[in-house]
Amino acid sequence: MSSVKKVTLKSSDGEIFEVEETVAMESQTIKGLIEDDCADNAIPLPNVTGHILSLVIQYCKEHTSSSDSNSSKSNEKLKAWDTQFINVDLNVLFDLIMAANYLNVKGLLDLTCQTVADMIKEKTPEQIRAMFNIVNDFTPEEEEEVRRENAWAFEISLKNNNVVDTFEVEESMAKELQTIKNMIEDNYTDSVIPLHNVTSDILELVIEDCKKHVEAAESESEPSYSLASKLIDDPLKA
Amino acid sequence: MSDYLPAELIVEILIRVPAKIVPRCKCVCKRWNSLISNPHFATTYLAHSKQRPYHLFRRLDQETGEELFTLHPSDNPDNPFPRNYHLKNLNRSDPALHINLLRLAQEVKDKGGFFGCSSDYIKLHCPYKTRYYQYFHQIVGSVNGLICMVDSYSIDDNYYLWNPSINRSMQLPRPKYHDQSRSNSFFGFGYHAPTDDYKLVRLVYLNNCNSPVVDIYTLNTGGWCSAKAQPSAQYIIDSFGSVVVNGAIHWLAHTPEDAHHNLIVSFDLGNEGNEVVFHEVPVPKILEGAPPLSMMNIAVLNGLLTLHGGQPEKYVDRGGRDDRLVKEHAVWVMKEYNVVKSWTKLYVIDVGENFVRVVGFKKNGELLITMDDDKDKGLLLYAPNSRRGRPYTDLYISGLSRSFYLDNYVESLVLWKKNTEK
Repeated sequence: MSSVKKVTLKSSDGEIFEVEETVAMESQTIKGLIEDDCADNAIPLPNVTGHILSLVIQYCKEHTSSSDSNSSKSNEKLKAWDTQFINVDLNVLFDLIMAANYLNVKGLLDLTCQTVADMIKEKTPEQIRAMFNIVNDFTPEEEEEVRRENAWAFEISLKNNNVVDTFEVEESMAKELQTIKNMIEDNYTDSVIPLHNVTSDILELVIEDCKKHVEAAESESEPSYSLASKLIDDPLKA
Repeated sequence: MSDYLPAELIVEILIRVPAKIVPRCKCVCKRWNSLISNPHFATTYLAHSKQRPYHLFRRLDQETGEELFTLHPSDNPDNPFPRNYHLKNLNRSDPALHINLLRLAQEVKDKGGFFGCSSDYIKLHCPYKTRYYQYFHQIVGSVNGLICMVDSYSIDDNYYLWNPSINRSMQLPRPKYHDQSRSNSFFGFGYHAPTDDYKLVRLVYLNNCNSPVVDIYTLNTGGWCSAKAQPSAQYIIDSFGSVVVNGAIHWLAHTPEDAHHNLIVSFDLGNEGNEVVFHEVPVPKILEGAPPLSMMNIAVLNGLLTLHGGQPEKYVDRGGRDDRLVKEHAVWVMKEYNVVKSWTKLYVIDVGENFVRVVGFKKNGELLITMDDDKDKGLLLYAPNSRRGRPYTDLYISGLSRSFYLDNYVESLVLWKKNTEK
């Protein structure tokens, strides 16, 4: 005979889940229904499929602060479990975000949104669109204007060989250097581009030079490749 | 996929993206552009980032003359600079463990100390260099991700606002009496919520007058205006720094008459117009009649006004303000704002005869201090009420002791839209 109170949850596709009340109360939405005495029968959750609901329940079970043996899980172990748990398909991730929001499970919403945010920070706008299946509805002129307004945000970090000395450079300037231009166009996703043959002082001079060329190129149709870019393409004797 | 993600959930994701990536997201599509451009977004972003604060640390490297800024996560109460950071990677099953431990201190020092051995920090690149070599900026304060700095050199000051989380910065125009301001300016920087504005306040004492001229710079107007304090507001400021508590800037001061008394002076950020008002907050009763508290400083600890430093022993008129006869180094907090009886002495800092400066307070109750003696010990960790033989620990963080600065910092989008330089 079990004295543990259970609630019944019904997913949008008719799957039934019997869950301990304390676990179910990780969802503030369900908690509210229980406290308002609306939870005698199965609670219908029309916005969550069975597959997603089972994942949410898994999360709640792991994170529930009950007085059984699971509650002494250390923070580190929980974080490791979360990392494993969140390693799912992007579609599933988005569905989990929606479910966590609808069911008001704060920890799960935080975990899922942070995971997606961490993916975004490594990507260019084009890659973000692909990830979210978004159609670019800017006209080329509109897009150019938004980019230009925020040009400083499209910085590439260049790192020299000896010291961790990163230079943040606007994309248009970095493209002046043929080598770096190729890396960018090959979708070099690493956020820091290491330049093994270049010391900080030389790199600083080169960046200065590129700056001037970009400013000049604004009035010309074609960027001119300077002595600086030739310097980069030949291995420098540091 | 995201066509079915409602706007509020796109926002939930975007507020978790590092601040400097947010502008890039504007280029994704019109919907995202409009979500991010909405002024409410920056507010939501800040509310979220306040739950994930950092520590901002500044030191001057004496060998290179460079001013170095770093950001340290503050989720762990041991941060920044955990006590035994250098023992983290020690192989405890190594049979030569005790030999390794003996060598470890030297190894850590050789590698460059904390900043050579640990990777638990982010290097920032300050866009401004002080005009005088080997000098460092006076950091007035930091709020909502915006850092306010002053470069005092020669006959005029340069004022800057810098948001390292989005790498935007600007130099402020100069106020009126800038050329008379040399040794008699005191600053405060804060956020005024009712007008959603950031203000730099400068107190200038002209012509040996004890009632200051108050210059106020507001970010929203981009300019300065000058005001006079009420005639009874006669104070001699003692604290080098200032703090913001309850929407007002506070300085440590004393009144100029012979039978002076020590007090804390407060300036509400809502002050505007030609006449501004100062209010007074009492110091602990026992310190009220003491000699000027020039060896003490003002801080905020868990939202409470805090006084710390060397309490004066007896008054010795050396003709200068630097009275080094200190009775003890103590830390006081005012548990209830403006209630003099609520001042509580938390503890005394006991490191022998040396003069101590508190650089910062860690969440676990330990202090980061420097000692003013000939051997440049760098930044030290002090555990109050400790039973250890020697209460302070070397952290192997070198730099000019006077330059060490620690404060809280949060990422934000403030200064994004302003006409700024990089």
